[in-house]
Amino acid sequence: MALAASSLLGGLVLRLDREAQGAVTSVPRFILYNHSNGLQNFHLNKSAVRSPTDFTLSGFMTHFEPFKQELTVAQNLFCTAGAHLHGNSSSGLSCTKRGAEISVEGIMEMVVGGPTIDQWIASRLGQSSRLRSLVLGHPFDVSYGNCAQGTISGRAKNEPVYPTLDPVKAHELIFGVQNQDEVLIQLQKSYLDFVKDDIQSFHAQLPGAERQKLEQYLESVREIERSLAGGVAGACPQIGAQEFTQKSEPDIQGELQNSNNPAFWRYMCDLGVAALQCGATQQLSMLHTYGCIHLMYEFDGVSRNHHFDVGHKDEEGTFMDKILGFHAEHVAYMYKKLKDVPEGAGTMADSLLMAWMSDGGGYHHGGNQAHSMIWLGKGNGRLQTGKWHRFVEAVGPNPAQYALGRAHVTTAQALGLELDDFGDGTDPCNGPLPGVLA
Amino acid sequence: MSRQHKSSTLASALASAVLLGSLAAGCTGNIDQGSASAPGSSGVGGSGTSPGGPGAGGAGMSACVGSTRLAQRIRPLNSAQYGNTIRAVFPDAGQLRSPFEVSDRSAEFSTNANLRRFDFDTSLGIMTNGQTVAEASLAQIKASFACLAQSADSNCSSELVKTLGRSLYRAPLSADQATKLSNLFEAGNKLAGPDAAIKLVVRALLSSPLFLFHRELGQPSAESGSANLTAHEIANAISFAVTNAPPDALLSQAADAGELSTPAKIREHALRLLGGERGLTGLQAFMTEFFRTRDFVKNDKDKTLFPLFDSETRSQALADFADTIAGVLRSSEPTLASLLTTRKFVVRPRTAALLGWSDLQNLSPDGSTVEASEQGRAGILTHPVFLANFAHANETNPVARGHFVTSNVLCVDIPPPPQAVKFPERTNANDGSPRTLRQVLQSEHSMGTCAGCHQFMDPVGYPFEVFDAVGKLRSTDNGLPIDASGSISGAGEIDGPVASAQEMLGKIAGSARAQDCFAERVYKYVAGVDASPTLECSTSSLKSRFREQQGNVLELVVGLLQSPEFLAREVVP
Repeated sequence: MALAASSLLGGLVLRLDREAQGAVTSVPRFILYNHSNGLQNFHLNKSAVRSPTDFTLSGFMTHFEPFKQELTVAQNLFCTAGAHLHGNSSSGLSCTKRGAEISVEGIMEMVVGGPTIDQWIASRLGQSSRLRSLVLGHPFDVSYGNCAQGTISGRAKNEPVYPTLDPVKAHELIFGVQNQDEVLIQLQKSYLDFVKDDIQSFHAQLPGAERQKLEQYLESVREIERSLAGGVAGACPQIGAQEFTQKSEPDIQGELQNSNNPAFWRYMCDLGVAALQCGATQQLSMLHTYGCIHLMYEFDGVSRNHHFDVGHKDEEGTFMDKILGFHAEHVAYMYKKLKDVPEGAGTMADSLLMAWMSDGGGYHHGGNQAHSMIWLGKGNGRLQTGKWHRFVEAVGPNPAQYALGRAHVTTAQALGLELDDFGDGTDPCNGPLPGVLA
Repeated sequence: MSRQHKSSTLASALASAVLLGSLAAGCTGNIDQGSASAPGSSGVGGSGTSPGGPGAGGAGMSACVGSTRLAQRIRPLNSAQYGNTIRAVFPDAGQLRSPFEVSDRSAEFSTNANLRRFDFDTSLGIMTNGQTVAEASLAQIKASFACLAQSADSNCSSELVKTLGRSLYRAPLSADQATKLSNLFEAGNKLAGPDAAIKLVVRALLSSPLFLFHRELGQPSAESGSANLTAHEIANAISFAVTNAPPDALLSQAADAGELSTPAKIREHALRLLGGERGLTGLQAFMTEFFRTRDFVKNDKDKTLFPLFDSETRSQALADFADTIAGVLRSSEPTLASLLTTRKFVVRPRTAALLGWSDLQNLSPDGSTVEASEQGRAGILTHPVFLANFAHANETNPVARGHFVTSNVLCVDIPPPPQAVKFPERTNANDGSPRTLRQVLQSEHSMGTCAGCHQFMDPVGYPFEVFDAVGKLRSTDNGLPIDASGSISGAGEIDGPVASAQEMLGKIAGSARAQDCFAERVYKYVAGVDASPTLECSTSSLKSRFREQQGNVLELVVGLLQSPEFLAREVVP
């Protein structure tokens, strides 16, 4: 495969700067993991929960058995947005990471209307990181109907953050490209300086509302500049090339749009873990899929259309059980990898918080007002782990007590960040979820 | 069938296509009571009325409230415009990436001014393309600027940056821009010589927002709060609307000379380009997105049921589709009505085999124009590309076909599917007797809340049931005779029963509602806008003119480019 940045630099060598390894101080790290079609109650309820501290893991949750005491589960988190437009998951999708949001300029179809929780956290945690945020994703067909914006992550209204889908680009983003030719370095610097100056000059000539169109471009140029500068600070694992990185980017995109490739996603998870481990970022979003995708999991026998056949018709839950199992395996896999990394007197998992969410609690067109969230990690002791909270079913007597926005507040506070409410106020959410924080 | 060889092919214009998938599959859940229980109008005007019912807001009842002008803005090139602009300047550009491919698909039309991603991947793709073009075109540039061999010739390098900048920025460079680029050249020259300097400048130009964005900022006009597009902005708009590529030499010269200040001059150049070799490319690009055929070649079917529907056949059919449209637009009646009712289809050998048109012999590999004689085969919506595009892999999908016509051709808004929707499986009747798909859908969708939306879609899709999932004419479904009757609802003046697809498309073709809807879609594509509260205002004059001109598609585009609504911009702070 023609490596993106290395071809950009005309033969520069992609190099992992292993000599730059050094001690990493204990810092909070956050991972948001998302997939589509719901952390469904139907499947979560297979686990027996006798009390918040007395529960038995079953079904896909058994992947977390080794980390049961580092696990926190919250079910039935209410989200008004999920009930909007007939409970269509895509209609309220971006809002699930916002707490709630009824209307974005009159429409509500996967348009990022404000900062999502991952990017809000990134803006706090990532100020000194080389990459403020790292968002990795799996390619899928975004052309279907409501998949308007192509991401569910955003820094602010109309400032979407798109996932990096190409593993080679992700690799370069994390580890950088080391330029060994001084002349090429200087040429590259001249070029990037020109581009940045050019964007800024044009930016100054534009009406205010139009300027944001250039701001994302400028930011991405700066990200490229940083990635080309390379250099990683932490103890970095060796991340080798995988077979799919030998293919051209269009081939990868084409192949993966219709079917999940477990090797691909495992590699992206490895890259994400490495980015945290190496200190390239403190905030990672793994956006496997979201909303109205057509992705299939053929390797696991899920050859039916993920959107129509699984999202609409999987009454017995046979296929979603496999899909959730796949994701639970990867969430647990990433957590274990970081737990295996010594840091300070403990491991990287001590300061880690990992939040697994989905688009909703039910089907593609139903149950999306009742979300669930699964946290792994102790957040430096700020979370009461080893607990399973089953809040009152979807529209209980006082949903404000367990609004989804409160879960986001909980996440932020578990990372030591100051946040009292989140979202647009559609669902009142003053403070964290009851009984979750230490 | 009569046959004649067509004069030209526009197949390449539709070579990269995308399928937007099935639109509406079905429903069994609850539709939100009240606001969404019936579709509404998107504000399309017309002469009919359905007071109190669906579509009542259309049919001439929408009030125009707000500005008729677009705001000052910049608009990113889409993938095709990006590639075409590079290749117009650098014919030897090499193999390019499509950095905007994903965002091209994230709005109804890829020309939308507000949906474009410039994230890490996109920007890296832009930069990588710059490197590719610089390497591949170095020899071409050096041949054109032989004086660059004299490394100290600053006049030559200055000429280089001005020439390339003029072409890629699609406007003359300002003195400041020229100076910065010349300085960049000099820096590269000092570091690594003239070749490196040339490549540096090319890379910089291809990463510049002045290249990547259309400028629609204008200059202040006498009218307060208004700005008129500059001559170069107008030239850009004309050229991309008509040819999907940057202005040619004559148009550029006209812009440089300030000759595009009158509607007559704009019309002159638009018509000149429309009559040229690339003249329909812009309209073909619109049609590709309008009919959602970008991914058609990937639209595979059940190989057991449709063994002839292989990738080569799909490619030929797609080329036929484009050529059939081009045939209408090149005819003496380039109207929407002709497009929706034409019996002249361009056909290639594999398409003919797919459709069972065995009486056609010696078809040209580049397509031959034939007169379809099949009952019901009339208009572009009976072309196999449309019919197969809106069908399942193993059977038809009258819901999707009906949904497209209702929502995209008639601009009746259909709410998204409700909760827990299920697409009905083909099952036998309770007594075990077989049923047609229509009978299954009628049974499922006529009950309860499903009928709220499906009454508007399904009866429009049923007349297409005479065509199977690849568009071949058939007389039976599941061994039972096809009922090709249907009805139109929610569209005002043309509401009512129809006996066949041909009758239905005839009614639609002659309707003001379809003309208004099409005019609105063309406006959204050319102007790069999405649905907005001011859309009705922005398009009301355009719709009136389109109706007055009997739905002449070419005049629609030319008229839009000439219109004061398009040429003047609202000044924004």
